[in-house]
Amino acid sequence: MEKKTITNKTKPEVTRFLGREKTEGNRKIAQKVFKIVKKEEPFLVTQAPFVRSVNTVSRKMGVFILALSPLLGVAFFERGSLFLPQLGHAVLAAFVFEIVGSIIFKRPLRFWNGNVILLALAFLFLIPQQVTWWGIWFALFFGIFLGRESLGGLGKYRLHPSILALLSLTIFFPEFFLRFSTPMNLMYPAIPQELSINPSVLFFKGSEYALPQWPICVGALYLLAKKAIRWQTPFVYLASIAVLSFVLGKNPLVEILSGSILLVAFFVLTEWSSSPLTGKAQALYALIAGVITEVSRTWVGSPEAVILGVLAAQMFTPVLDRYIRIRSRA
Amino acid sequence: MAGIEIALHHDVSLLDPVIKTPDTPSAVVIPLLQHRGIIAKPIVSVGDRVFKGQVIADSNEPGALPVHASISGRVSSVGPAVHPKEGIHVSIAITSDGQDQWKQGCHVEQTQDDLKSLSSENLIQMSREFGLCDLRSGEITHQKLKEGIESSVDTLILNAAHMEPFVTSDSILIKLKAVEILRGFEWLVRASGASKAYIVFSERDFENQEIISSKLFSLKISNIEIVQSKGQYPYDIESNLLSEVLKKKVPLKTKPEDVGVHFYSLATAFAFYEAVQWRKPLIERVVTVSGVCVVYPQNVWARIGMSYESVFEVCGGLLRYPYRLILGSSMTGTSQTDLQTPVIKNTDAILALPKEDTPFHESESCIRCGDCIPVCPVSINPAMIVEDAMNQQWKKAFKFSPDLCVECGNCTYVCPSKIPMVEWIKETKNQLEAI
Repeated sequence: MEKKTITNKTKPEVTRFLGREKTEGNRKIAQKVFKIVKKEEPFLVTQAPFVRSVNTVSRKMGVFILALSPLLGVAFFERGSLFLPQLGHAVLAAFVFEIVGSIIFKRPLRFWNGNVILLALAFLFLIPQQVTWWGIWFALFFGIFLGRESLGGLGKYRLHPSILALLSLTIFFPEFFLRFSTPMNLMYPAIPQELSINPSVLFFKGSEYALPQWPICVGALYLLAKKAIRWQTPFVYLASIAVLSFVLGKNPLVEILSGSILLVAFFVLTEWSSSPLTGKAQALYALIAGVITEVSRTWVGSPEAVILGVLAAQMFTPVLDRYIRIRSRA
Repeated sequence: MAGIEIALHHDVSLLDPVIKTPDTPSAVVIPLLQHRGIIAKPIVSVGDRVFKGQVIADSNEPGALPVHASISGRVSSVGPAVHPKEGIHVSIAITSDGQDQWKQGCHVEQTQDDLKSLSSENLIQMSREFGLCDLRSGEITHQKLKEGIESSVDTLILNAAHMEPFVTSDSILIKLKAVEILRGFEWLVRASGASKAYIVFSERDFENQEIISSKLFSLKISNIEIVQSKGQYPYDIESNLLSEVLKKKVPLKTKPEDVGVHFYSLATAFAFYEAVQWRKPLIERVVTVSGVCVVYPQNVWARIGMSYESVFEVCGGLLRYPYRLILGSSMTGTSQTDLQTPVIKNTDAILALPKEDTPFHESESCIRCGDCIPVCPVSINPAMIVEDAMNQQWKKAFKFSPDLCVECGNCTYVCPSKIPMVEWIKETKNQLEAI
């Protein structure tokens, strides 16, 4: 019987072949077979850098959609039969309008990046639960088609399409908001008086008309942990509302937890295309939005105050971007 | 300090820690433009016999630098040839005679007595005579030394904090030639008349810092100090290094000369050592050959004028046809089109990368996410510059100080829409210069 010994030949040797582990034998074969390979096609010429991070638009949108998923789950459990048709119609309408828009305006189809899903979801949590399917299609025609596609699609709009959709709904179909004394999915001030005194009920339980607010906070923590949003926008917005409502003699906690203030702070105002770029500009932008929201809640009496606040602040975005620079020109 | 955590891939070419000396190449093509400045006139003609280290082009003009033959043989042509950065440029081609014979008086080790008498002027004259330029940026060394004396620069910094993905030509020099680098740096300090000398390392490069500090200790060199700089890629932002060395806050726009400091690269110090100690002209340098397509990624002593193809052959050839051929690192390099392109004085690395490592990305429109702002090492707003540049609004873009950009590539690296942001910022800078 031959004794099996480990010789140098059979012993695997770690080499630097491709930076991975390969045996000595493989290395020799490679050397024999491949010399300078024949020229197949010209080398690709671009400017540096040649490597890119894994960061993509769809990944960034996915983080937002994941952050909205606790709210989706709660809405599904609390009012599934009312909520599911709304969800289906909103997402379908958003897709249809984006596809139609890219065909009409001759752009490559890019609907899989998730931007319209995000806009549709944000819109869905801003409207009353009784809005019919044609109401959703009508509003999203304004929001997605006129407010997003006609301006150039992804990244080109400067006003939030969901807010524009909500605005069109309040203007053309005010009965959705009036008949049920403004019962939005998360609506102010539909809460009965005894509920409004207790913020913990608003936070954990919700009411007949309003969903609880804790899923938004869970999503917001996820966004902040992932660094998908900066802290400036939501915190300055919430702080300005809290301070102003305290000065006006209301309970700041109730004021923040009622209506869609939290949703707007974390998911609407932080939308990239319509908000300023730098932290300083974002703080000022959120301050404008907060003050106008609180003022219109107190005196104007609009059905949903956030519309005015958000749109007014987003009008200032180009100006803030241009004149609040990180570094002034020396 | 803003920046990004980046994979350096240094292990690919450092697994075998040697600098491979190849056989004498059969032919070289030496471009006359290898530095920042103007080109010298060829002083040889076709058919002339040249020796290794012989001057083949020279000029008396201040921006010019002599060019030396890197092999012995006969001049086969003088005329346009491929240049790594300029496309086509005038070059001198030499065919080897196989003897690899040094010119009389070159490559002779100098004794201590010869070196003691050298004054600052001698050293500056030497750096011109042996064709020294900065082996990274291409600045002419003797001009830089003279300017330093005129503007009373009293601090020299050896920049060892420069680390780029894949490029290990500096790192391997520290590992194998630490003493030579230190001696060369001492000569540089003596030539510039500076009183203080520092070596800066990145905190990520602790291993090389230990090597240098142990050599400083054992050689009893007391006038060179080691400074550690903090921060992420890019590791060698000049204002950052200056504030670490001078221990005070230095504004971003400061040039090193304004605070009496000059930076020198490691490879330059080594080349200066060889020029002074060995009277050896700059005819070869360490080039990192790396990337997944190369059979043996490693560092090579490449003669100036060797074609990329022959450098790859030294490293076992190419495993497969690369998708991109890159001069320099994968973050700041230049795309190359031809395998016959020659190695020049500031070629620090040649990379052959496949498609799966460096795919081509279609760019989408900017979603204004602002990811490029926190990673910018000079805290400018790349997103606004690019937005204005895309609309040809150059004057609006200038207000966001694109001139501060160091072209590190961080903004393009993180951009989710894959917009070539550095390209747009470079274009804006060109427009700014045109006005």
